[in-house]
Amino acid sequence: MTGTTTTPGEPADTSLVDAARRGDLLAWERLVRRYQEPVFRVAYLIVRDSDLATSATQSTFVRAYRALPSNDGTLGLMPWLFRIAASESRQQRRESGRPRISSRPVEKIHGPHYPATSVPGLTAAVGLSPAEREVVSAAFDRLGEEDRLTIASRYLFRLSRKDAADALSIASGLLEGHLQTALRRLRTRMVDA
Amino acid sequence: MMHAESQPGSLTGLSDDRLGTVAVSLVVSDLQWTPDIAPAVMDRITRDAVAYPEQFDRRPRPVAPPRTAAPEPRTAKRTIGRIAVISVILVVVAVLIVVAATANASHAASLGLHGLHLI
Repeated sequence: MTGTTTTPGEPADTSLVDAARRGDLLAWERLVRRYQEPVFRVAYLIVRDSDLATSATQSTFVRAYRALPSNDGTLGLMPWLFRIAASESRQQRRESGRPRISSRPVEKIHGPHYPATSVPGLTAAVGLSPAEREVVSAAFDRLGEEDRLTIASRYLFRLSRKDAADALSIASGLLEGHLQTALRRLRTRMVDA
Repeated sequence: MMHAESQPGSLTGLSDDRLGTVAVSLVVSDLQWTPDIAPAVMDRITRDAVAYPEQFDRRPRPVAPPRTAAPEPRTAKRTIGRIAVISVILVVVAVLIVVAATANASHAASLGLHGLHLI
């Protein structure tokens, strides 16, 4: 398993994963804290509800811990967690009986929480008027789940081409095509709005 | 990917990269907070480990001892079966050889070649 985010002075993902695989719960807790925000965002992109996304994020890390011994390490940690999070989120959404795409949510977080880190590129939206921002947001909401995750894998999580393809369970060579298609559909939805 | 500069007020002028970045950043900007799920996760794992200890046993597995020389009953049965099959095959081959030899002898006799085999 390869690491994706390591702060200088912090143990690398690989050493924490190895320790967790041997039963070191503290090592796993450090990884949970390191990846809970991106995993929560993956879940949120799918379920579009804070409570459901929180529940899906918890389940993702519990399931991942149980699956550690059988993980052969061919996937990076983030792509691996991304896949599990997507699966758990779909399951949570099915069990909740909520529609596939919900309206824009009212943000609320129950239980312990901390301020979200700034989103890379958020300043790119600053030059848009409120109406234009709404058009883009509404168009993104109307995209299919795979398109939303494809766009997020590159522009939100900044995964490498290989990691993004691994996360989406597609061949690496197909990623650019999927991304172009997703962006084209986004433009179409914007025009339709 | 295109890298055209966007025109102010024109969404269609956004490059692919900028459009993708703007879209995801707007959606996730709803999230002012991130839930700290680590305590709940560790609590669930600890409780599951008590309830299902066999699924959470991370101790290294002991090396399996080498097999003893005595064959297991299943292995012995398999060996006997193999010997029986090989015996049947050998008998069939022997019968075929005898039949072929007999047929050759009959054919030679019908052509009056007795005693000519030494020529």
